[in-house]
Amino acid sequence: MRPRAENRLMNWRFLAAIPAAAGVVHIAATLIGMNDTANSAYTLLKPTLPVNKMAVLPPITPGHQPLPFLSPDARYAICHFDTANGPVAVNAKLPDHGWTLGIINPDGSSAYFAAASPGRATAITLTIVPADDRFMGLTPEAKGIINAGQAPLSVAAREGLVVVRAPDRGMAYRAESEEGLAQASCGPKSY
Amino acid sequence: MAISEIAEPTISPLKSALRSLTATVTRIIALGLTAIMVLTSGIYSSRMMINNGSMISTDSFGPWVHWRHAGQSDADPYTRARIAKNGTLQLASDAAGVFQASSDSIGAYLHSSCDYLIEGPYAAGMWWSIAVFDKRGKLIANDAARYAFTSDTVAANPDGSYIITLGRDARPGNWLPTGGAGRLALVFTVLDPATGLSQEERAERHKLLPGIRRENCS
Repeated sequence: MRPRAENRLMNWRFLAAIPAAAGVVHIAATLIGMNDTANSAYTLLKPTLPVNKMAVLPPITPGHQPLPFLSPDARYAICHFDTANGPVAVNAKLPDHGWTLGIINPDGSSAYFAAASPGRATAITLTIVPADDRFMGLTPEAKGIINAGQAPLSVAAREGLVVVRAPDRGMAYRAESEEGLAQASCGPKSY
Repeated sequence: MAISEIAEPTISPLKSALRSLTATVTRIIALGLTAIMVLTSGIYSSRMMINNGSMISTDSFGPWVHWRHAGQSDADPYTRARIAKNGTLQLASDAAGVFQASSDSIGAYLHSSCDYLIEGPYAAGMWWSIAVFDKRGKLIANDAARYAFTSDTVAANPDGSYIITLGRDARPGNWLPTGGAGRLALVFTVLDPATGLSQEERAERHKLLPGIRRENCS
């Protein structure tokens, strides 16, 4: 006797549901992976860095390699910023080609990136403002104070890393690179 | 005795219950196996696309793999999952090209038991670096304290091209020691000029990628 269609295990609807269900699992696994920041650069570096203060990392060596694939081809100054208590001001001078400044979100995505121009120093002045709609006080312009300099660029982010990267140009330039990194600053913005 | 009673013999209630039980157990096992197959294939395909990339997220240039949207805020989910999982500080792909190779130019895995020649052309005005790691991304400790070369630190040929040797034993010139690290990974980074690059210029940049030639294995 032939089994009735609704009782057959391997009917066409069931077979079609298998790849569809596998697709749903695939999407769910990818989304979980995307939001799993347990091993992200931010999570790994956060405990070793002061909050809202730029720290120059020692040269990257096998004994001091805080992140995988972090190359010794550059020196780094990193700031762990948190805008919970207000905006954070970032200042850095990128003296030559190869110098970069990036703002990295906790999930590793980039919120801001700047690279220096060859043979010309690039000054970066920016303010990291809280990503939510909190009122953090009036800006100097709103108070009627004329800002003589260039208005800082605003980047919205709750927390993350500011990474200043100085390329290794050889022994002769290392002191200069370290000096440039030491001049980079990151701290609570005061109006 | 009626004819119909002879044609349809009666099944005992015990046999009927056993048949029903067998059918139910078979169905449960089949559904369980299907669920395992669905979960395994969904998770495995996701992990593969996150770890190794796919046409959606990567471009391949010989042995070099480039994650197209790495470090960008609008990166695809696979790229974002990979960066979050690996814990790397990724340079934004619209400002730098970061290329990773775990095999040589003929597709064999890079291994510390072999010597390799890395040959690249002159890259006018571009800052680049090449660094060697073990397969987990850790630097390989060595007495020479050599882990990377850059366009500033490499000893280039008169025409600007360069040759870097990769191997366990010391060699003259641009030698990167590999010790006994086992499987290796090379990372080639080239920074874009501050003015950025057009799609055509970016395609030209890919021609700067060095070849990786295996010399011999011990």
